[in-house]
Amino acid sequence: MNVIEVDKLSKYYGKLKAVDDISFETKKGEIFGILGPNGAGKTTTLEVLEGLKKQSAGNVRVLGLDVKTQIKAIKQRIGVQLQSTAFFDFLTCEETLNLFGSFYKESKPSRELLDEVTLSPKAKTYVNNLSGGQKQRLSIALALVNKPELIFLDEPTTGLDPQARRKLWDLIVSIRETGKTIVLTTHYMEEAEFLCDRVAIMDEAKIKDVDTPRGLIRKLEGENKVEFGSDKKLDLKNLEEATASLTADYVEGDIYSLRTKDSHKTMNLLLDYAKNNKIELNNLHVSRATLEDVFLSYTGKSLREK
Amino acid sequence: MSFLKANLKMTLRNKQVLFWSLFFPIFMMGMFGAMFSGSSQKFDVGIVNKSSSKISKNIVKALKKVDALTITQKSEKEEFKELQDGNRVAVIIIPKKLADPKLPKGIVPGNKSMLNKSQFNAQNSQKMQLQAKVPPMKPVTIKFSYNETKSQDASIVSTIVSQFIGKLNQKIAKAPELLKIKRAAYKSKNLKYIDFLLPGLLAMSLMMGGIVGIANGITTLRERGVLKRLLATPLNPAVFFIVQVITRLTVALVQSTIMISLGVLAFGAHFYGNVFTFATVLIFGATVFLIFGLVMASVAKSVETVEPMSRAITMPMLFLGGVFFPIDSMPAWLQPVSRALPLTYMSDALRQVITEGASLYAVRIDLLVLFVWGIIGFIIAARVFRWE
Repeated sequence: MNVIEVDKLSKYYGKLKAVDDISFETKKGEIFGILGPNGAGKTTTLEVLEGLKKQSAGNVRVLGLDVKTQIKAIKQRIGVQLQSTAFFDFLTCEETLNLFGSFYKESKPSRELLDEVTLSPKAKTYVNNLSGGQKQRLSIALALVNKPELIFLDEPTTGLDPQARRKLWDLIVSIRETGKTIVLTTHYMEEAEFLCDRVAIMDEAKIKDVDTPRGLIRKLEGENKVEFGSDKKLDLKNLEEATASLTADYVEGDIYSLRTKDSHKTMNLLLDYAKNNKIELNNLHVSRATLEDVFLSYTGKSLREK
Repeated sequence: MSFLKANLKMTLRNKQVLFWSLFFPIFMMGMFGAMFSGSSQKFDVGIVNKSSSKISKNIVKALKKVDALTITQKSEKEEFKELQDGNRVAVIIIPKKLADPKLPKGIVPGNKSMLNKSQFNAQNSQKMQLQAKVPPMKPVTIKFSYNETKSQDASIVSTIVSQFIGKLNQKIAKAPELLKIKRAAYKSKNLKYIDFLLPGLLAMSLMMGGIVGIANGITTLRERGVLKRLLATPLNPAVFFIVQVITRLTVALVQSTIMISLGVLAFGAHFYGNVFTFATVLIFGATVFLIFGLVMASVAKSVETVEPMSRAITMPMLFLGGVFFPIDSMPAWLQPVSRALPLTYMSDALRQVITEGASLYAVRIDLLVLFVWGIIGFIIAARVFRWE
């Protein structure tokens, strides 16, 4: 059974297309990820599903209800975390949860929620005194306050240090285990790979593909990447042509990455290229494709470049 | 209901709100109260009574009853020393010559007391005969020496004493009129500056609290995305606004109670108004200013712009809205501007209710103007308000 059905959804701001004719479904009990760089239209898509924005065209059904006409009923049954973790000043964690609980017909006791997100010791702490990771966990607790069947998380781990991110991932997995459906957006590959049952790849207002992380990678079967460091700055266009690779990309520091179907050929061409241009290569290796490469193959650009 | 409770809690915990809505107006009242109390409250006057007559004793007794004067009675030398040291506004000397008039029935006595003003300076004292009308009987001169550096105060005292002596002359001439003097003194008590200031300050703080408080509060919530988060819940948006308004009105009521108590107890202001009439005017006016705050919050793009915007609205109103001085005392070309401002009508309505005990019907024009302003504000806010 589909919890969310999006059919030819578009959202325009004047002439700007924030979301352009996208369609997808979310199944009950899964973690569905929308992966894409900033400005791809992920947040706008979520906000239409949450009833915060009205669509320009298309049909959207959430929990079997139409977002245009039945948004009040939908709001009772969904949990929402927005990109900016916004709380009222001068309220403690417990008071914040009590307050938001009072907006719903049915709500979970604050103590239980704090327990769930391991914030019990902070019950009496003012929200402004929480750390970044604690604020994110509180805002997830806030999204759980009405015992929702469906939860939207908009970039839940952005700006967190690796340890806090790891902790949040565990929390999200534990929420899925209670049978809830989760839709999240992210621009972190490893997050989508670790958390999501299915991923929609979104770029420039369009959805490029929807599949499981493994399924997406499998589509790149036979695709490898050749990575190396160089002592000179290289022109990506030249490099791409000289090595007969699909794309040449600059990773970070002075590391370059070439996507190729034929790693043997690319490797040989690269060595020739290096010899002819008097380039000293180091740390040369071939590796399997990741979700990052999937993204690259669909959009022609790296997520990290943004 | 729990939203209201939480919102009140938040407001009470916000020290900035408390400062601007409670301590600032009290501070203003203290400052202005102290600044103007010198000219409207008590004057130190020394009396040297050289006469042993009954009438001189009565003069002293009666002068002591004048509220505006603090009378001391030391020897002539001591009193002049005090005058020289600046501790007296004036020293009045009643000469030995003043004797009880013998009143032959039917005949108007002519034992008139004349006021003889003389300047007194620290360096040189010079006496100046002011008046020398020839009365039917030989006049007795009461010497009035005053401190030149406090000439303004002294002229007020001189007026009081002159009036008083005039009354006294009448009294000698006709029937006792001591009652009249008492009444006159009571009337001057009524006209204290603080009685003008208190309703004005009250209107001011309601305006500041309403406009600045709501505008800042809501703009901050919007900028941080709290409004958007609320919109993602089933909460009815109207409830959000109602809660904001009730919270602010509660603050306004507490604030007014404190200010009025302080004004009456510490600064001697008077409250003649009916409590319910007063509360109605207060809530009515405060709501109008809250709507203004909402307009600011709707128009402003960020917290950085909302502050100067609300200041640009409140500051001119503060000085043109009849808070610190009456509108009639302003230049003629400015008066129409003042008469367009809502604060003018708010301070006028509060002033009438507080100092004159006016009824709602008596201030209906004020309320009507405020109502029109409120409607205008409401329409603007409803049209341009944004949640994010």
